[in-house]
This record gives sequence, structure tokens and C-alpha cells, in this order.
Amino acid sequence: MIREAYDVIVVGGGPAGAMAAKSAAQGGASTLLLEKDRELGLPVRCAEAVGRKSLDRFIADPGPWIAHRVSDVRFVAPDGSVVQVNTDEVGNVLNRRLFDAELGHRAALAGAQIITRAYVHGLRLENGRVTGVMVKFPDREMAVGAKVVIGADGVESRVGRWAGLRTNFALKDLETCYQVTLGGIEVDPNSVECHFGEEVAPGGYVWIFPKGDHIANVGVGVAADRTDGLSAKGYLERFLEKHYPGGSILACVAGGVPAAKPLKQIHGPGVLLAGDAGAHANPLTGGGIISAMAAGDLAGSTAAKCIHAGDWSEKALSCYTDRWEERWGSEQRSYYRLKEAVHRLTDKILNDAAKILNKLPPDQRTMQNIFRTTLAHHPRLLLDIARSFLK
Amino acid sequence: MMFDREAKKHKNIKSLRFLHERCDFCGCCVAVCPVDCIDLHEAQLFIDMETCILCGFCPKACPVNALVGEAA
Repeated sequence: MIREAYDVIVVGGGPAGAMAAKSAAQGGASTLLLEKDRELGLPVRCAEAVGRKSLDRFIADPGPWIAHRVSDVRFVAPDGSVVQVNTDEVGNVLNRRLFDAELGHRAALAGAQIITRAYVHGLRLENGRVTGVMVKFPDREMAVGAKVVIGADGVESRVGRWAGLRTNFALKDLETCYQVTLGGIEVDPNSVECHFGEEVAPGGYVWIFPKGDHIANVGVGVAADRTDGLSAKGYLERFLEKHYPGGSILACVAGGVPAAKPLKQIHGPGVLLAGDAGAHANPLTGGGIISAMAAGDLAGSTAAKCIHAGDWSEKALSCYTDRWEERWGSEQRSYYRLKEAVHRLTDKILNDAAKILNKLPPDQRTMQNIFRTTLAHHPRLLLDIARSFLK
Repeated sequence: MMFDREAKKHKNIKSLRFLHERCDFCGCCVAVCPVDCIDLHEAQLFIDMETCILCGFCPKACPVNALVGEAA
């Protein structure tokens, strides 16, 4: 049964929350995870692709949560030219419903208590310190105490705001997204495909991530300040009409992805933020599964350590922000600068770059060369980027 | 309010309409709201119009046009 108080309460049962609950419990903290929906992993607001090597750091064993494997990347320029990039990396396309359920199960095995249909609608604050959460279950409402609350409540996070941290996103730093799972289509099962251009996705891209033969997640992300009257759904419908008029929509979902610089602070008085709630996503690609898991892992272990040491003051918890910053801060900032540079590329530049890249032998079409070639032919942009790296 | 300055840089809207049947409850609106006036719970969206400053961010962020702002 639910207790009056725990060492750690985690709000949100996605990859960040499940990892946080697992590592907090492993660190010896009594841990409660609260998920607002009826099931971990649903609805799936995710394009589901993740690098295999990165994933292996957390879950190396194969399981039904891996839907499909891909090995190539294809970029499609606004004029339709295709640049095939060969990477050494292998990507996984996940089944997030099963993946999240597995992570939740592992947290439970580590000793965390998990409750679904538990909606946290506020924090309990005492003298400016978070000391628990206010939670609504289907049949009752109550306050549950906690020494540390971990906000893993997604892009729409409110835990951080209630604790006085600024976690809302500037329009330009939110990718507004819409995705369908399309069945019965012709799709190269070995490649992920990304389409760029002002008409398909201003300030973002269209992705096609195969989940098997004849089935793929097809979605679009658009910078929220550049939607220009058309919603993400509108952009995707236009794309589908042109490229997949006969596809069947097996699932559809809307969502937002943070494409932001690292937050100044992901800790507060009695609170830590992880995953989308802490802007832990790659601002260039929008990928956030791995960084969410890493952040959750770090948040859970930090909370447990602080509680074990008897000091979970805001100052003690600040080592979470510091350690995140050390490991991921500069990387996220570089990706943010690259994102800004890439979003400035005009359709003409992208088309020219595709032509130049296609003259390179396939084995030289690496990600690094793509950036190098694109930028070398546009020296001003190169200068901008070089400057931004030195800032 | 600490977010006012940024919000005012943008053209305000005259009114905000919410079309429940279009909403997917994804939280984009909550994520960009500078005054934290939107709450999302169990397939319902609540907007506190007394706190709303009609900044027009949420209609731009909404992926499904469920929030519609009337131009000022």
C-alpha cells in the first residue's frame, strides 16, 4: 500500500523516470514512481529510433522492445536529391510501449514502488522547500511526503515550475511534431530517411524510421516559431499526400520535443529534473531517449547518495547539475549551435550541398564530411559556426 | 511576472479558442506557456484565462491546431 512518505518520489514513468526510480532504489532509497496514464509507455509520443551502442550502455540484452535494426541514413534535399550516408553505427527502432514497460519492470525489481493513474497536480512546499507531492488517484486525493522529488514529467513539465525553476521553452526551442505509423508502404527497411527544406519542415525535418518491412514511423518536427499558419499535422499531411498517398495510418500522435540549450539549473530545493523536463534531448536531432535515461540514472543515484549522507539540501543536490554539465553540457551546447546553423541553411544551399556530396565516393560520405562539405562551400556560415564554438 | 518581457516581444492575440475534439493532449502548449496557465489532465485541457496574457505562443506550438488565436 501507499505510504505516507518516501525518500524519493519520481513523477513520470518514461525512460527518465523509470531509470531514476531504479537507481534511487538501488542506492537504498525508498522510492515511489507515479505515472499519470494507465500504463507505462502509452501513449507513445516518440519516433522510437535510438543508437545501438548508446542503448547497449543501459540495456545490452536483446528483447521484444527492439522492433527493428537499421544501418544507413539517407538525407533528402528540398529538390529531392538523395544523399546516402554510410555510418558504422547501427540504429535500433524501438517498440516504446514494450521498452518503457521493461524499464518500469526493472525499476520494480530494484525495489521501487510504481503506481499508474496517479496524477501529480502540485508539490508540497515547506519554507520554500519541496517536501512531497499532491497526487490524485481515481478514487482519492492525498499528499505524499518525499525528501527529494524527481520531475521526469516530460516536455510539459510542471514540477520544475512549481519548485521555482524556469522550465518553459522559447518557441524557437520547441519542435512541434506530428507522427503517423504507416503500414502497407514501400520503404527501404535498412535506412532511416530525413527530408529537409522550407516546404517540408521549416526549422526541423521529416523522418521515416522503418519498423520492419512495409511499415515505418513517418513524422515531422517544425520549429514552433516557424509554423507560419500551418500546424505540424498540416505539414505531415502535405508530405504524406505527396510521398505515401496509399499508406494506411496505424497510429497517429502529436508531441513536442525540446531543442534547447542546457538549463542553467536542473536541481532546486528538494527537486531534480530529468529527461525532456530538464531539456535533456539532442537539440539538433531531437533524440532524447539516451540522454533521458542517463539523466534519470544520475538523478536517482544522486538523490539516494545525498539522502544516505543525511544532506539533501539544495546545495547538496547541486552536484546533479554539476555532474550533468560536466558530462553532457558542452556536447548539448555544440549541438544547439549546429542546430541554429543548420536552420539558417536555405533550400538552395541544401540542394547545392547534396550535389557536391553525391560527387564524393560513398565511403567518404560520413557525417563529418557532410558538415565539412556543406560548410566549406558557404564560408560565411563556417565562420559563424567557428565563432560560435569559441564563444 | 518574470516571463512577461519575452512574451510581449510577440504580437499578442485578441482571443484564444480551444477545440477539444482536435486536441491530442501532448503538452506543447504547456511547454511554451510563459505564465503557466494551462493544465492538462485525463484528456482535458484547462486554461486559466485570468492568468493568460494572450501572448499567442500556444497556437503556434500546437501540432494539431487545437488552440486557435484570433489575430490582434
